[in-house]
Amino acid sequence: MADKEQGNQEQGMRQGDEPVDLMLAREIRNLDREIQPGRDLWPGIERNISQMPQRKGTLWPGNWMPYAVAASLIIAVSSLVVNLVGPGQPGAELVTANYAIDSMQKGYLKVRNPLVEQFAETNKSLSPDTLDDLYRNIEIIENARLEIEAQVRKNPEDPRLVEMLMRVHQQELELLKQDYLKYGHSM
Amino acid sequence: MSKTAVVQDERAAERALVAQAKNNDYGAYEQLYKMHVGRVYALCVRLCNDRDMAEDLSQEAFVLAWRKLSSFRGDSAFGSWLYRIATNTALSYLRKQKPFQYSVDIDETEEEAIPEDIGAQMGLEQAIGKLPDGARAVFVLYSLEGHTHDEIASMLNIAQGSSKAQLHRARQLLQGHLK
Repeated sequence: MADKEQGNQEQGMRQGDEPVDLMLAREIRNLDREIQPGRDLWPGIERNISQMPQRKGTLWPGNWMPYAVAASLIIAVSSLVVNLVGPGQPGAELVTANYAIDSMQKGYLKVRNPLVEQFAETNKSLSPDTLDDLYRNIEIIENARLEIEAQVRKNPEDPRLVEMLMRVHQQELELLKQDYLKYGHSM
Repeated sequence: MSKTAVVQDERAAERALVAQAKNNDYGAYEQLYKMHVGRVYALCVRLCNDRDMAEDLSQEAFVLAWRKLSSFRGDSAFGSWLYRIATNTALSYLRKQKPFQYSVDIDETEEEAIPEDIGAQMGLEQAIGKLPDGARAVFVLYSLEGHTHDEIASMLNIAQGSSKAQLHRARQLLQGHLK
């Protein structure tokens, strides 16, 4: 009996009870996670922060670059369509624009699609939220590109629109590469 | 509604409040204050063991968080970010009060006097308050706030070994009140 008591003491146990370290762990778990202060601190906080200079508002979402690119391209192309290919304006070139768009698109998709696939494959380790963001950005640019393509097909006479479309392709690829590099890959 | 869905809704609501606060909405920030003041104050009072000072430190932490809010990118939960600010605010205060208390090495901690009344019957909350400053800080950060020894060593500017030794010491002292 005396031996048992001595053994319990060596293990940090109370007689006939659980080990002291387990009791401590239980008490820690039972501690209140929150303690309310004796007074309301908000008036003091509000007084302090209201004396600070106002922050500038954030009109753009955090990842604003694709929105900006998409918006500026749509505005630029719409202006071109109105100003250069409006009613009564004769076609400036005799190129078959639709054919040019199709062949340009083939070359572009040849580069873009493997890049998107590679991007999806190698970024599996990213969090679902980050991946969602990246795909949303790709989708925004993609929609802008489709809109511009539609404008070009409606007004196939203007080679400058074709050139503009080429630039959109280039910018989309650049953005894909930038995101790809940003997340720690080498091209 | 499942627990996960509720948590996701709460986080979404918190993100919305943070976004509003970033646009200078004091009402939204007051909501965030109400959501987190209990945890912030508990952290401060346990670290500095002084209720009045903990109120001042909590207030200071919220003011500092407002000032830094534009740099909060949402990579972690707002609460985690805020508690880190509160921890740094409280530790900074403690360092100013007792600059050498937190930089002791293992040998010095062994020599430091152990309070005798820590073994008396009392609640754990009071027993934590009776711990020596260094042991209390490590115990609160490790056992209550969930930081690693590596993080604590960095926060307190001590070696990882010192952090482990302080925790061991705190546990030994706290076990006294349970015996």
